[in-house]
Amino acid sequence: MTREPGFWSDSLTRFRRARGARVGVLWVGLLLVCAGLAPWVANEHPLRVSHADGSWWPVLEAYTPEDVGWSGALLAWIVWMGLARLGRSRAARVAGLLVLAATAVTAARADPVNLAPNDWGEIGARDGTSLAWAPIRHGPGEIDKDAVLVAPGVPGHPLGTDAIGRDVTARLLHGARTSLLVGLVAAGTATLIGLVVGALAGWYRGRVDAFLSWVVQVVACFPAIVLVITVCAFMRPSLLLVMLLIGLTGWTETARLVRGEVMRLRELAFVESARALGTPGIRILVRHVLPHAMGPVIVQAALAVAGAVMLESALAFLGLGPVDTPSWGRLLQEGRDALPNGGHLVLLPGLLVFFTICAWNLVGEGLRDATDPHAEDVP
Amino acid sequence: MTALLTIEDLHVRFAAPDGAVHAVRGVDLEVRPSETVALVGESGSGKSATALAFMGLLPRSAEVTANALRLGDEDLLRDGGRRTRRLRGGRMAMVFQDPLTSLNPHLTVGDQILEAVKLHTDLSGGAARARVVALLDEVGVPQPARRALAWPHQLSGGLRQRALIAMALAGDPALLIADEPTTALDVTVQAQILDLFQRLCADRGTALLLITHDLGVVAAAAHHVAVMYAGRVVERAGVSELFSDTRHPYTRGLLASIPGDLGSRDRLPQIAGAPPDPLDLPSGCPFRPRCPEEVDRCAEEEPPLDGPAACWVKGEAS
Repeated sequence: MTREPGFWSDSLTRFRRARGARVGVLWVGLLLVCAGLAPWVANEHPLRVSHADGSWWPVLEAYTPEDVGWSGALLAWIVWMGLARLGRSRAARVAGLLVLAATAVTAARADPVNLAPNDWGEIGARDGTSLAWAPIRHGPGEIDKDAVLVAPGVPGHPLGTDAIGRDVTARLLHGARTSLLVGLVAAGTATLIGLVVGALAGWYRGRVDAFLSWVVQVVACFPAIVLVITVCAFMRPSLLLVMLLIGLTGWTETARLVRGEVMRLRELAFVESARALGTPGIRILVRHVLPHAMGPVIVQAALAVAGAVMLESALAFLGLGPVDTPSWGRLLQEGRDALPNGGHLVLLPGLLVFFTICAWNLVGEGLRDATDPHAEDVP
Repeated sequence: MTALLTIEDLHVRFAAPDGAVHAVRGVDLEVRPSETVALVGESGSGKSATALAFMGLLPRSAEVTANALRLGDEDLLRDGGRRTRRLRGGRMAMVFQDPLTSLNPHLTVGDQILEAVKLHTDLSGGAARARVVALLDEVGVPQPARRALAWPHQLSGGLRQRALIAMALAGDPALLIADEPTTALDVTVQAQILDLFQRLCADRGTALLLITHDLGVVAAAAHHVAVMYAGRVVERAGVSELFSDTRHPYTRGLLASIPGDLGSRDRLPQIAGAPPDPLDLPSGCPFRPRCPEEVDRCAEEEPPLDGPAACWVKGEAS
């Protein structure tokens, strides 16, 4: 005995079929691949050292918790997509979550070895020893003094280097991590806060609504950039701080949306019907009201990711982000300082930011069409 | 036998932009265990407001006062409504008018009944699911195990109403309040649903407060009838007395309005005039402007419901 697909599985099917959404998801997936495989694609240390007695993997020895997290996320995504393709959606969900859990545990226990800037050439020259290198033999922070500000196409530096000799490919790959992380965490924080505030305001109305709507208006008036500049003047800028600040200033749209939806939904007959059954208020809100508001909320969340990516790039461009994290906005700023030489330093991160924002917007539009209850039925 | 539902001198006022609407103006009502009482009246007569006030389901903006609201020996006026919420869906349950909008479109029918079962019984897991199927079976849903997995939009109006009745029965209520449960249904389905209510009440010994404007429904299902007009009960009688010995001119008007053997060109009989504006009730008896039997006293004083009818002419109120 099985039940027919409900609203959410229909929406997912519609979303999978939308062309724009596919392009968006493909681009985001590509960023996830970049983020997960970054140390395998661009690394100043060899991937594998094999000698007569056996072999070891410098790339794994040096795996940081961050590397573990991104590789695990990529693995979880592949497992989930693969099983879902095979029609095993429940198994896909369980397996994906298991991989994520294992990733979290591994990341927490990761103990990266700080590899010395070895003279790998000498080691490789020994008898019976061979080194397997990554396609790009430079890490994101490594400075190649012999190749400062070279243009793309030079052997060893396919996308060139920046003004102090760091490889642009490596930095762009690691920049994908920053872009994804900031976008998702900031938009997630904003959506969560907006959901709670909007739901409480719309459900309890009266004084609660008056107070929360006032808070929404005050926060909506905060210019995020000015706030971050101010906070960064007092605190050491970190990626977490930037994410939280974007999230803490960006939730007002969601809150307004949810408030309106809840106010509309709470008057519907099935809500009264649930009250007549003695269902406690909070349970009605969570189980009968909020699920109906989630369509617009996840659309708003996807668009908020695009907004967060944009804001993060802008902050990094203004030099307000953390110094030690590669970010496309920071690359853009460094490229601008090097102008008129090194146009690729401006062009490449600029295009990546542009495409990423487009991709998240496409995802948002696809979600909007997919969760539209007036859309055509899925055959 | 003591009453199961007791309402004494219930008043409900809604704040409106032009002043307070006094929707219910002193209603007394009793329903005894296993008894079906019909509450009859046109739209705006206060019959739904009476039921919602008893269930504690009126919006907070409504002002509810009463001398007594009791379910069995539970006093619903104490505890600021907390007691009422605990009893809702348990000892008293309600079935609404529109079976489509009363079901949550995002949940399967079975999941919604399951929620009610889990709220009001100690069952869980497989036992709770079995109870859901048993309830659907009891209300006459064919293939109940399969229908439990259906979404509301996949069911016909009659089946949806049966599912809502199953939800109401989940807590094994002693009192069921049905607010125009057949109004949104096809005529053939109406009869089936009425039969279902009668069968359930007989099998389970459940008392039923049936709110309706359909005197055909009253004649078919009720033991006692209370007729409401402009927020008050104007006539109260056993169902056979109501039809054979009608006391109030309003009730007589209602009975005369039932379409009988009419030629195709005859106008449907109706009561002249329109229900009074609740913001501007006429002095004396609120039915006076439409009453064919008005006497002088009707304009001076509103007749109380001392006997079977609140009427200076035909009632026994001296």
